[in-house]
Amino acid sequence: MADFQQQQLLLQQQNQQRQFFGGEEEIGEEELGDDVDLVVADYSQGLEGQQADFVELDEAQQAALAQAQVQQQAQQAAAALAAVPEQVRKFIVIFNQAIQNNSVPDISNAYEGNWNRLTEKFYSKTEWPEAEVIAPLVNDDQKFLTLYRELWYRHVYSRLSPDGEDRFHSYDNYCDFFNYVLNSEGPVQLELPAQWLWDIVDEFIYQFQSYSQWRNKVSNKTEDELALLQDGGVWSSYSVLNVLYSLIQKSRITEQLIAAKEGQDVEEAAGEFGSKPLYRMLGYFSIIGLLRVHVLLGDYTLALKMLDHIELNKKSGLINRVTACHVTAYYYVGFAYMMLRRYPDAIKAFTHILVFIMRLRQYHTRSYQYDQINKTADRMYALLAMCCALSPTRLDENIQTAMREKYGDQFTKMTKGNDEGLAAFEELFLFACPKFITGNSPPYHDAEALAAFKDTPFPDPAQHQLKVFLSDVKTQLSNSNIRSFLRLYTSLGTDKLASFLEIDEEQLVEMMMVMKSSTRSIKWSEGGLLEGEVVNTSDLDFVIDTEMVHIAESRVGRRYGDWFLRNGTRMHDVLSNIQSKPLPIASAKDANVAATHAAPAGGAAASSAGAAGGWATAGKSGHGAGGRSNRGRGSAPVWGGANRSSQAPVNA
Amino acid sequence: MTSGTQDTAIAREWISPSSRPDHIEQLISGVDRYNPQNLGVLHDYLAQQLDTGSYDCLANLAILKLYQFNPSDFNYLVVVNILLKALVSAPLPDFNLCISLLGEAPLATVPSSSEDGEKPEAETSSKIPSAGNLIDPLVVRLSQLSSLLFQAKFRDFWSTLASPEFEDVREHASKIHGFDDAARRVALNSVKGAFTTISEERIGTYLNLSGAELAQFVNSQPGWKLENGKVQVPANPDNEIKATIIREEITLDQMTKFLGQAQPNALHA
Repeated sequence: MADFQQQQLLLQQQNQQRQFFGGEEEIGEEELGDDVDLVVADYSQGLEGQQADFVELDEAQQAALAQAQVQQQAQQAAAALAAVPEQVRKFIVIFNQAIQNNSVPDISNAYEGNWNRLTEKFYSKTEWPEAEVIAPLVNDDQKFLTLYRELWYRHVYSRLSPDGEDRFHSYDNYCDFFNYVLNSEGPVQLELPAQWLWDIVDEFIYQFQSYSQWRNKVSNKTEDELALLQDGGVWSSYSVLNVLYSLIQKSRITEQLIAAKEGQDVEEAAGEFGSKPLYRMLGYFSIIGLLRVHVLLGDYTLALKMLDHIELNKKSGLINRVTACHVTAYYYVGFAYMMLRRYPDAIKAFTHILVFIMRLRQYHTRSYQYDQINKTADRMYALLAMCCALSPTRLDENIQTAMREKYGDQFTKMTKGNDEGLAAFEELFLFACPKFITGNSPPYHDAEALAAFKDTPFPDPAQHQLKVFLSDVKTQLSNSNIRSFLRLYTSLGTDKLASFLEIDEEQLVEMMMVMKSSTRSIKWSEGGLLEGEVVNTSDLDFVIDTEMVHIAESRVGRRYGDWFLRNGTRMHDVLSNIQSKPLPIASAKDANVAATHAAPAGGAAASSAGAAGGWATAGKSGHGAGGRSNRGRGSAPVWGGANRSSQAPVNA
Repeated sequence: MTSGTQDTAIAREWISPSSRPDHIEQLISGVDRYNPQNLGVLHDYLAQQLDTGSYDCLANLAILKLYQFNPSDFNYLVVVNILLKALVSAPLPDFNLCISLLGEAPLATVPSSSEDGEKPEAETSSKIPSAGNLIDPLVVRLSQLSSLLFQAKFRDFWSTLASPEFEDVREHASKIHGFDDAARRVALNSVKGAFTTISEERIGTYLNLSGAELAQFVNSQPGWKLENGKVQVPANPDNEIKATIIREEITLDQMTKFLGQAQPNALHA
């Protein structure tokens, strides 16, 4: 079944390519293989083709100078390797060793620690040494070199600016990696830290997104880049989806998640591949990856459907394994909900993750991830502000404060129903929205169409989504104005309210119907993320009886419980703090008591509980004063023991 | 929909309508939904929706998804029909969800800024009526109708639909079974939440009906009654309002620490 589906996907991809090439039949039928191997094998063929072109150019020379060149290359390679700093060479050897040994802690160490340290030291503004240069250090081990290249290109993307060739080769390298993982007879002998696996999936999609934006700028492409761009298959939407779906199928992650939910045997559901952490995590991360890809393409329902079998709220879920994954998932879930007009769900998603990030702040030390997470958090505060403006909600106090600090001005504007408010929505949306992409490429295969494209490029996909969103917002802008009037009455005529607002009565009634439906929203309660029940989101409700508006306001009663709980625990802490301290009246008598009762403190306390009467409430309520006194510091007189000696006289 | 806390039926029916056949369910739940060869099946299913008045938003979005990835398969008529169906499912967000997926459709779009980074048209382009970036006249007209329904401007909806410029819309809509009634149900739904009683005249303008037709339509709705120039709206959770005091709820979870402290210390050890 899985194979069949993959084949289907492949088929479409090739069909699509054929369409791109205007019906060219060169992508021969023989490539439409009937097994999984060919699904991904297809990727690398593009590369071989490209390499063949380069080789052809040099063919004449090469024939003549082959021998000399080999020698020369060997010399150059040796020189290049020698130029690599000693520390880096050592690091690569150790890194390779860790990977060959599948030692996850060592790999983590190299990956999260030393790689970044060495980057800072030697390569903050230049590339790391080419994989070919360091190949002799690792015996040409292709597995390592593929992983090394993954890091190499990621470094180029994050620190330098990738050119066309980098983009293509990085794609090929990802294909090599996925090829290796997916097309092996049995599970591959490789283990990587979950963080790295997430980074691979995350970076793969990031580069897809980055490529899509780069590709859509038709001018300032070099000849070489134009030639490469004609091959529509590289970084195509279909190929990216293909990889993610293949990983999901190979790992049987969906089956695993279902089994886990229903309390069945996960191992059995996982099968040979899926029971390996490498496959399970790649499969899981691919689901989150698909969530992201679909949002980037403006398909919000499908995005949320991807998470049908993931229980987001489960504390022990795989989603918590990697913080960046956790944050990413909630960002895209929240955004998709917002575009579905399900503001309460969006608010819930953002609040959940922002509280989490706030707590994280105390512990997190890995700075390169932390920066990224902070940036995403800022965008989520902006989205949260928008959702709260559309659907006023009582937030967690700390989140509310942080949101006000960051976007207080915009929030105030957004809650006023005018053009200024709309502009604030626009500003925040463009700041906080994902980097939307187009699924298709400009017509690089067709020079004429390409020339025309230069004059009429794809309109900005972010603008498209923005306008769609703003059309929702415009309708709801009037709500806050009406709401503020309704709060003042328990009932009033529609004509009167209309005259207050200086609008036509019929217009008012329409606005009120809008307000009514804006305060009813579907909110998730259980099941898939798209499911939910209709809830009232507002504390202010009304109904129109022909021409009379009746208003009912729900007020929040005073909150005693939380206060009581907090102070109860605090009281307890204070009390036990006092109990563990020496008594304030440090006199000779106390010293005596301490000396006599130090050893049998427990017994003494037990009897004191009985004897002490009203004062010793701690003992009376079974507080175990004896136990406490044992926890006291050394021989200092403590509450339990001292109880009898210093207080009993008072009672008596 | 009569229970106190409104149930989950709306969302469930939206995600998987009871009218959806198994083969469609299977198709759109799996990888097969990306295969353009399945467009035929989905087109047939859409045609069935148009004939019978049933509706399946997610299946129709699957068609638009395939168009997004395979622009050469784009079928204008199909898109118009999907938009018309989505239009009358307000206040669900269906129409905008469709537009979101049509950003790359081979249709006329707003002039985008040229690649040199100049944005001369930015000002003017925001004034051109558009659905997202699309300025195809028919799609824009549909978008206007969608906004009117979402804004509960039902009178304007009918008068706009009847205007001469909207002849093409009417023509397409006339081929959809129960289009007008579906639009009336949007209005009815809005009224249902906001009113306990409403004048005959007002609801008549919302439904674009009068006289015997109006009486017949209203009285055929379960719980609705037209009498003496007034329409009695059936009681439902949305139009039964009451002032309440929201009391805080403390869950056992929140009390773990507190209760833990109350335990005798012997248990701690």
